[in-house]
Parts: sequence; C-alpha cells; structure tokens
Amino acid sequence: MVWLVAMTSRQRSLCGLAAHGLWFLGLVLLMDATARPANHSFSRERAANRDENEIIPPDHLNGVKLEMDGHLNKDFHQEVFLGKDMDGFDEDSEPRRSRRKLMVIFSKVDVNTDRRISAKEMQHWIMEKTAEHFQEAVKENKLHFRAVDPDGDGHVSWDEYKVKFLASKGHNEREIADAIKNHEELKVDEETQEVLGNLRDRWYQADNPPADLLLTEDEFLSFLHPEHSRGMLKFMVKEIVRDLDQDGDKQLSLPEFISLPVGTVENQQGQDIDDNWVKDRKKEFEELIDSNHDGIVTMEELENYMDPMNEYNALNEAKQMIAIADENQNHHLEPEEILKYSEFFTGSKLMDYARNVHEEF
Amino acid sequence: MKALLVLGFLLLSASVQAKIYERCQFARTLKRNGMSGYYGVSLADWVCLAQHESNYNTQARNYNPGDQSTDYGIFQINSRYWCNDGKTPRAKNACGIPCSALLQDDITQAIQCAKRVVRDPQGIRAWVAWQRHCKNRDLSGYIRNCGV
Repeated sequence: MVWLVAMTSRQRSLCGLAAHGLWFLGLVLLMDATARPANHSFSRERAANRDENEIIPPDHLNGVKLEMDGHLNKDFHQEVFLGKDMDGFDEDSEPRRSRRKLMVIFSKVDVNTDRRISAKEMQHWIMEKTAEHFQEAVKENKLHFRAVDPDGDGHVSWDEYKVKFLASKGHNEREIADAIKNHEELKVDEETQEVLGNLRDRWYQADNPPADLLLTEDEFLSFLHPEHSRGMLKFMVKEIVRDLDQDGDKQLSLPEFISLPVGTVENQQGQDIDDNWVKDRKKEFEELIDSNHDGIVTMEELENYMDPMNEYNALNEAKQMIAIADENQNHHLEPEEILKYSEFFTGSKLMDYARNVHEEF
Repeated sequence: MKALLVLGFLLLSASVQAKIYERCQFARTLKRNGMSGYYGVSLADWVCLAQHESNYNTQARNYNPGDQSTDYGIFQINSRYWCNDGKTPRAKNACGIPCSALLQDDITQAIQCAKRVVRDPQGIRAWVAWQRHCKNRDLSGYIRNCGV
C-alpha cells in the first residue's frame, strides 16, 4: 500500500528529534493511523479493467467460477455469456440499444436459427466466450511481460519481478534493486511480505524445467492466468483448499466450504447477509462442485469445477442458465425470456421491458 | 397486453428493493453533502471510485476471508476498521456506526463515513479501486452532463 511512502517521508522528518521515545511514539501512532485501508476490493477487481502495466496476478479471473481467494465469482454468468463485450450493457445506456445488442447475441447463439436456444447451442457459445477471455489474457500478457522485461531478452527473473512488484506498491525502484543486488533484507510490511511469499510459490510453479526461476512469456502467462494451464490450475486449487481446509485432510466438507467467522451478528439485517452468503455457497457446493454428491469435495472435483474449458461444465452451466429463465419449461430460451431475465445474462436491467415488447408485437 | 403491463410494473417494483444510483443522481447527492473538493478530493474522483467499487449499489457486500471482514455499501467500507457488524475480529469502528447503516438507500451516513476515511493520512488512497482505476486519469467523463 502507498501508505508506506507517507511513513518513509515522515520518518525522515522525525529523525531530527532528539528524544527516541518521541520517535517511537510517533511511529506507533503513525502505523496505527495509516494502516487502515477502506476495504479489500483488491481481491475483486475485474481482470478486464486492469491497468495496462498490471503485474500482480489477479484473484479474479474472467470465466472462472471461484476467485483465487475462494469467493464465488458472482460475475461468472455474464462473463461466459458476453465474453469480452462485458462493458456494453451499462446501466446508463439506452434500453433500446441494449435490447438490440442482446438480440444480436441471441441470433449468434441460435446456430440452427430456429428462434430458440438449446442447451447444446448455449454450451457451444460458453466454450467460445471462455476461449475469448483466454485470448484477451494472452494479448494482455504481452503488455505485462514487456513491463517486467525491459531489456527484452525474453526472460524475467524472480528478482526482476520482485523489484517491479514492490515498485508498484510504492517502494523506490532503485533502492529495492540495490537492496536485492546486495542481498540486504527488504524493509517491507508484514502483509506485503506474505503476498511476496505466495507470489514466489506461484513463480516456482509456473517455472517449467529447467528450474532456473526465469520465466518466458508463456510461463509468465500461466503465472498470471493459471486457469488455462493444467499445472497452474492444480496449484490454484491446492491454494484454495489450503485456505479453506480447517481439519487438514486436504479436502473440503460443506461446513468448511461455507464457514463464516465466529461472532454474534448484531441485527436481523446482518443475519440476512450471512444467510445469503451461506445459502449461495451451500447451493454451489451441493449442486455443482460435489459432483458425486458424497458430501466431500476433493481436489479433483474442485479442479474439474474450475476448469474453464471443461465441456461437461459448460453443458451444466448452459442448462443452469437456461433453467433460470425458461418460464415455459421447454428446456430452451426464447427471445422474450432472455429479455425478461436480462439482468442475469448481462448484469443490467432493461427497465423498459414492457414497452419494448409491446412495440415488438 | 394487460398482463404484460402488470409484469412491467412488477419489474419496476422489484427494482426498488435494492437502491442502485444513476451516475448523475449519485454525483448530485455527493455535491449536496459537501463532497466536492472535500480534503482535496474532487467529485469525479468519488464517482469513479464508487462505480468501480460497487457500481453505485447501496447494498453491495463483499466478504474478505483474509481478515474475516466485510466491505459494505456504495463505498465498500470495511468492517475491520470503520464500522461495527458484530462479527469482525479486532474491529475498530472508527466511524462509530453499525455497518448496516452503510447499506441504506439514504447514503448520508455512508458519505459521512467516507469523509472520516479520507481524513486519515492515506486519504483517498485508502480505496484500492481508486488507485487502480481513477488515479492520474481523465475523470471528466464521470460527471459529464450532470450539471454539477
């Protein structure tokens, strides 16, 4: 966090004070006062909105059902339905234009042009959109790789990456580079130290033989986007299981997967929040992740669940998406059903639904 | 046709359950509450921040397993430091409010809490989304045509 810069400049001004006690008191007060982020939105940033020079692996991966931190990806349906066109359905845009756009998508999904979408057609579409997200990631990776490989030799070492990472956290790049070169201990806060440790583990995992801690552009891609690399996907699953696994048996029970922090909820609204969170995760666990329904999620089950190119998953997802909007229960989606449930598919309501449909008739 | 009209009204009433601000509506509300230039932060900064944090959804909530805290409301303010939800370990409640106050349609208390956050030394950099999406950018589009 940038607050370290503030501390550094403040520390300099405090060096002039004669009394060590005052310096220490100031440091303690400063640490308490400044180490208070408004939130932890870092873990939920959309990959599509990342800065061009983003070099930190995102917790959020487009088209993957679980975030790196174990959260359900609430945007998953929109991501696999809209592909990289996710920004085209802003609340501000005119309903008529959004409706037309949605119908254009409908006609693309409807491959046999029978004016309704089957599960097979939706599955095919989901696979296509998921591949689209990956192509977007490959494109972005070139930019990110260039940012961390300024000499253009086609490799980036762990030390080089560490310098760039800490610079992106507000540290002075030259000071960090010198400290690493001289094998000095880095003066970073505990949280950054922990993040660095995790990143190093991922770096090791992404580094194909020979194990030299040098990543090529392709290896760097799997470092940032583990979902399309078999080895990295396994690593990602292992990390998530490790975070949630309370009894250390390397698999997840329902209580572990839906665990909430201990403590008394203050009021009914807080209770409702908790209940919704638990309900969503319970449903996902029982209906989708635990594929053999034995009450235990193994690493293999979680990996299958998270694999974006798994055809069986895509078909399941297609059926689920259709079931949500399929009012006449014919296992297909008609144009009016998609329009009515537009918020589910695009994340944005079409408020003039009734008027638009009236005009259509 | 009547059935469709009834359906339309039901949709309208359904959308009232969660207050989601329109961009300019939000900008005007901020201005009315003295946010323009508060501690050096422009109106466009606040609008940009809120869009990327919550898409202007007053009831946005996100749980953080790392420290078992939750981010609440249109500004996604964290229960570890700023508000009390009764279940966050080592909570501070610097804004002196229950976290549920940050989820109300009336965002007056959320704005007051955001002011408290920005008065801390780190200022607006307390919001990660601001750093990643709004810092050093041309933000005029966020308040364009809003009359503020």
